[in-house]
Amino acid sequence: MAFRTWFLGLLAVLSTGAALPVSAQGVALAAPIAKGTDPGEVLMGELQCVACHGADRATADRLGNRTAPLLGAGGLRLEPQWIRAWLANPSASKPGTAMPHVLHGLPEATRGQAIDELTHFLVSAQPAGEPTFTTADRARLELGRELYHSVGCVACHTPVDRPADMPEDVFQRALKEGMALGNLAAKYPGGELIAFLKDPVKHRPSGRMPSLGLSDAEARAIATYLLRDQAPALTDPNAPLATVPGLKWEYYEGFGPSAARIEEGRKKVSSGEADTLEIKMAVRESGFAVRFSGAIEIPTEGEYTFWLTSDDGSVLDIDGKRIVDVDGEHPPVEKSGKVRLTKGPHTIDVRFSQGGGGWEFKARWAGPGFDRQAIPGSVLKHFGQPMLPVGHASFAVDTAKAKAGRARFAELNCTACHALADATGPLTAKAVQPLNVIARRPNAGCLADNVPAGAPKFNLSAAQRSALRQTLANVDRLARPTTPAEQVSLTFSHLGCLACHARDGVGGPLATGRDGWFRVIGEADLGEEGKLPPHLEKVGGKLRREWIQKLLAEGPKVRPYMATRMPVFGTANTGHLPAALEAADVAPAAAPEPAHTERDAKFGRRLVGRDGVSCIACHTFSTYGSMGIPALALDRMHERIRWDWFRRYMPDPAALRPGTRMPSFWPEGRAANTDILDGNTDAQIKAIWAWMAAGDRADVPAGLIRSRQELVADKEPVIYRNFIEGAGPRAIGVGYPEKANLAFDANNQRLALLWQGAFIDTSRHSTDRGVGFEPPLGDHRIQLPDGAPFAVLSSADAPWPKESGKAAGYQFLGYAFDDARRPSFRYRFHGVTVEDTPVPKAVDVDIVLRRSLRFTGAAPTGALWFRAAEGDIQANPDGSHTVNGKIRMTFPGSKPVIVGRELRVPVNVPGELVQEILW
Amino acid sequence: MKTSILPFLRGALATAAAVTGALSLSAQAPLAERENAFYRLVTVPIPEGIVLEAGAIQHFGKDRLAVTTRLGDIWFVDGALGPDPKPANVRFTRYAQGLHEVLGITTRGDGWFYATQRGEITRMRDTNGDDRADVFETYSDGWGITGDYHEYAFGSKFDKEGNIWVVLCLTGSFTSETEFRGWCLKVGPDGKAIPHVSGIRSPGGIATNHLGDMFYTDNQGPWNGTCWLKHLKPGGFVGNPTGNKWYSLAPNLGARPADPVSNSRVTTEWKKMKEFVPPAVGFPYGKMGQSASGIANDGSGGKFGPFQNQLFVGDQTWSTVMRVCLEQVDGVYQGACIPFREGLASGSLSLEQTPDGSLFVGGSDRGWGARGGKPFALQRLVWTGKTPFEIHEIHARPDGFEISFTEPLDPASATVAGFTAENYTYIYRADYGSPEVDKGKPAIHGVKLAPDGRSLRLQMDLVEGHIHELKLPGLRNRAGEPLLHPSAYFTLNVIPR
Repeated sequence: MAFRTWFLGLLAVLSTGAALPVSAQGVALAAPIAKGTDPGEVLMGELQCVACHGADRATADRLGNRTAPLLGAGGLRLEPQWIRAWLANPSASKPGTAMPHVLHGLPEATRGQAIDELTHFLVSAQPAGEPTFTTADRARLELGRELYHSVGCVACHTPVDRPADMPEDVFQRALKEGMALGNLAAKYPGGELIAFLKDPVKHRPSGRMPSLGLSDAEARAIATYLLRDQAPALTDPNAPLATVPGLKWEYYEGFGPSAARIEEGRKKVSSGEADTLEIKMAVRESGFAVRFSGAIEIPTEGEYTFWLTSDDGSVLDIDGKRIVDVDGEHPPVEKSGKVRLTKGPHTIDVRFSQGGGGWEFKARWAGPGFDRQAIPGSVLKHFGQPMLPVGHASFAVDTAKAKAGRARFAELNCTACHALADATGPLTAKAVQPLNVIARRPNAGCLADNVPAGAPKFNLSAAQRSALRQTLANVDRLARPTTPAEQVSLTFSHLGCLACHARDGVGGPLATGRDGWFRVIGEADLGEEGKLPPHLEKVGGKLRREWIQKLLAEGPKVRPYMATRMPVFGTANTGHLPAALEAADVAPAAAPEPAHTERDAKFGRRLVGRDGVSCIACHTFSTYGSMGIPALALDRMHERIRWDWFRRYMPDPAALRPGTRMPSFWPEGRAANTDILDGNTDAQIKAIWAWMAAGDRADVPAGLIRSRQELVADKEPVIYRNFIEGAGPRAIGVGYPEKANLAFDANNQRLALLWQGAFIDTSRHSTDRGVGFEPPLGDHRIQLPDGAPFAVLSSADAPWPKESGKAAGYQFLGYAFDDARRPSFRYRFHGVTVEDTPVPKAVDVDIVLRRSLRFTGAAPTGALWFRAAEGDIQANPDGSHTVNGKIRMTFPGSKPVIVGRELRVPVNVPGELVQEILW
Repeated sequence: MKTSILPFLRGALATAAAVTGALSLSAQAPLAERENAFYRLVTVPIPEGIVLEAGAIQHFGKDRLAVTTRLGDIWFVDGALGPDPKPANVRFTRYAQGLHEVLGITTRGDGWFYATQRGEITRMRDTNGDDRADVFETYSDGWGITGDYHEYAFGSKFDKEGNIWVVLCLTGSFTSETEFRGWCLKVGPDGKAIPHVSGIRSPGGIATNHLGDMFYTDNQGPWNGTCWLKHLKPGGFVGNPTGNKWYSLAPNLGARPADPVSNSRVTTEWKKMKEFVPPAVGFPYGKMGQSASGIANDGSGGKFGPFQNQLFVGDQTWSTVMRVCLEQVDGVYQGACIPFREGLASGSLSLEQTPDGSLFVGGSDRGWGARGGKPFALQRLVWTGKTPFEIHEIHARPDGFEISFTEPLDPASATVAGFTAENYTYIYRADYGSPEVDKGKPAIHGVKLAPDGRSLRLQMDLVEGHIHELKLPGLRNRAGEPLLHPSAYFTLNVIPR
């Protein structure tokens, strides 16, 4: 569809003949131009004027920093059909391009031939080998969409999606001002675009398109998104999807109750594609889970058997139905299930979870004509779609045409910009009239209002032509040496730095109006600092030269919370910046690095830590998270920052970073902490600096290492109401002096967990912000049934209702202590009040929990049941029951019933039910 | 080589002084020291081993305090009100233990304490006289929690009708994943929770003013360009629409209003939406503080100095207490915030005034750093009986502001040259926070001093919806002294006619 629109547009343009319309916008620049910089000069660099028009060495150096994309062996394999369209009119193919229309002067008949010959030549010169066409699926497309709009692409390029809260006019501005991408779906075979995105500077050495450090998966995802028109079915939810090789996997970390409910208690950490059902992605030994999903290609119709062997749990679903269930926490257990399947693809979903201890996982199958074996990679697929460039047609190079094209390429002087060498050897550029000569004729040639045949026709706006003429009028200026500040401004203008950063009050996302696409990863509470790249006012006075060098060369990430990445432009393009920034920005009176002693560093450690000004409340250090937000790492500060900036920043951060969330701990220059170093501001700031000087080898500040804080029931029970893993967000933990512990789920009025030994570690909730669920600390952990504990049933074996808690009419009422401060829980449902009193006691070597449930109020109509246990239940000769081979339950005075995997006990209202649990 | 950063600072301060025309600061003692001469900071000694991250404070009985903690304890503190509490005289008794992040406590003095935990309000009492609660009853649990740490619940004191108001932080402070996150619920004497006000983001405290109207603080973030004091007007919407999906469970409030438009201004959206209650007072970010927290009204009848019926509001990051004076124009609250006291030991979190007039401030800096630097603290501000030379109140007038002072002014100093003014507002948007925008430098046309010298009319241009930042560096009392705090920030919702 996009292709059609584009193609019709192209036809419209072609039909107008030689008088092609020129876009009013002209050649697009990626970002604002630096303050005080001549736009004509910047434009001359971007248009590579000196590539054709020679100039003296100084001028050429100043203007000659751009080169065109590599063609030939160093280039990419572009689609021949696209090359034709491109040559027919570059700026119609990609509005804003700096590539001039070089064929505009040819009569129409000859032009077609020229395009054909050039296309054959360019394809013949491409790297050897066939391009790869990729496959796509919707998940990858969506990931690509997300990445395209967040890692920094749309800082320069046109966005596609409008953020929900962005006003239409702001979005329209970004569409108008953004660098167009052109018809990528017609241009690139998928493999070529992936290669380009992974290392753009290799193919376009001047770094206008920088590297964002994309991983293979990210480059694949962005390419899929940009080439989405190559697989129209991807964006059509009704289109049937084909299968492509490999299963999708997701890897989770955390401790959860089951493999089936894989997201409960766990967080997704990574994902990818795998050829086999083998767990190779786990990076730890305990507390993880893996899900494989996709399709299994059934070779012949018939009955298939699947086996899972796992420690701990696993499940296998085919077409949404559970075929094998080995869920739970256990040593290696093997189970199997049978299913009849038709030939062709069926959905498969396999989940595995590992708690503690060792682990094992195997998936095998047998089917018509083959015995039990591992499931081969050849049948494991996922639903996806092959991608083929739009307008793709087979193409064979005609050597005669290619030869003629080569001659035209030289004749048109394409070589001046596009370095190209083929088997015949390098092509050399022709000399054209030098710059100082054409400067005298600023209304002729490429700059004429009607560009004559023979001169390349750039897509310049009237304003751009006028800017170029102005610069040419004073062309001698360009031969003067540049100051460091000018070097910085020019480089920033050419490379588009001001798309993301502000300097001298110019640029940055707030100025370009694109801040809506700059995001925080996750929900770090960091405000604009978390999502907008830092301003670069006097940045050479802030960052060390060595650090700027490293930053530009490698793009190390020091702001892990920021979705937008610092790109790498290639050292050939930025190698001069560290020195230029230093020379331009460091104040003459800048204080030199102070000498400091070990004693300073020790005081610094105290200041940074819990007993000082607590920098660690927000800042991370080495591998330690902060106690709050993940602000910039303390161990990287000294490596990055100059002392002169640090000493000015600390007393008044907002003066150097307006809007920062960093508060001052020395307001008006006076130390808030007067205990350390007598509250001497100067000495305190120097001490912190001294401590930071050791980087990640510095002594860990007090308060960062979370030590276990065990809550101990000594002489009487202790309570712990908090987020307890397995008992919900409104859990009430009780630790008894008998070293038996329980957790009651006050949202669902159920006894949720029992365990023995140590009660609970409170450090998760008592250090930093208290994030997450804390598991029990002890051993012999028993999980009791989830859901409603009581139900009125029409018959003893009726299905147990799914609703629980408030939705099922339960209300928690609280608890009261007995003389020994043991709690009795009270709750109500449908007019029945329950007093639930668990009392642990040691019996011989065992611990028994005797739980009394007293019911008062009006008896409900119908039989009331208590669901005491869920699992493998066995009735014992002595009247007790064993659950999952581990727990023994007795109900003195009651007659429990086994219903499937549940143990149910009838309840009388008013009345009492006693449950004794031995585990 | 030894280098000093002090020359730089002195330079910066000298510049600031030159710009504002203030006295040379080098001649003055640190601000906290000067403040201490009028409002003395008394630190209550906390025994070793007790972690008193004070989430809420309640005075009861004969000068006893109940102090709740973020870790779930409730401590009875005796001896904290004496002239200068010594460790030997201060006694801590653990009344309750193991509760879930208690950020509200109130009592009617009948032995029952009502504590707001994350998931419920619990009422509790001691039945056997050992100062330890034995019965814990769920008084109200009319909201949900998911296990997200940011889902805080702050509970008020009993209002005049015996209700407790609970303000519920959003999930992660960004979304509303379970019932009534981002709402204020009113819990009646029957324990029933009624949805009362929508539009909340991340509260830091809740209390009534002297008229019994309920206020809470909300922190910079989505839909909050800065931290605010907001009026919880029944049936109102206070700015963040994230929780508005729960109107479906609030039939008493009618249909869900249309969401405000992002990237707008509060004034623009307020005028489009009948439920919208504009924020009463803004605490400009980085100028007044960074995390507004607990609130207390001075109802001491003069025992706390001249600021009766004004509100005192903590700032957790800056370890300060700010002062707020309010007015109502056309039924809409607005007013000024003025610096009051800095230099608290930890992050100011909970505020409570006791009958002797002192203002208790409980602190914690866990998870959110604070200038004070101590992990927790219980402190008390006591009026020394000396009245500071301060702005007393500020009220909007059709042609400017009427500013009163705690002492008569030197008439010679009450001139246009004694003032500077700026105004600005914030972008009202779904995105986090906002820079100051639509900045203006309003012209000051004249200053008219009242005959008694205790108030003046500052005639100047006003902009509705803007914060008016007033600096008064040139004003002097009759002894020639400058104001202790020569700045104020007036949030002007409505220009009175």
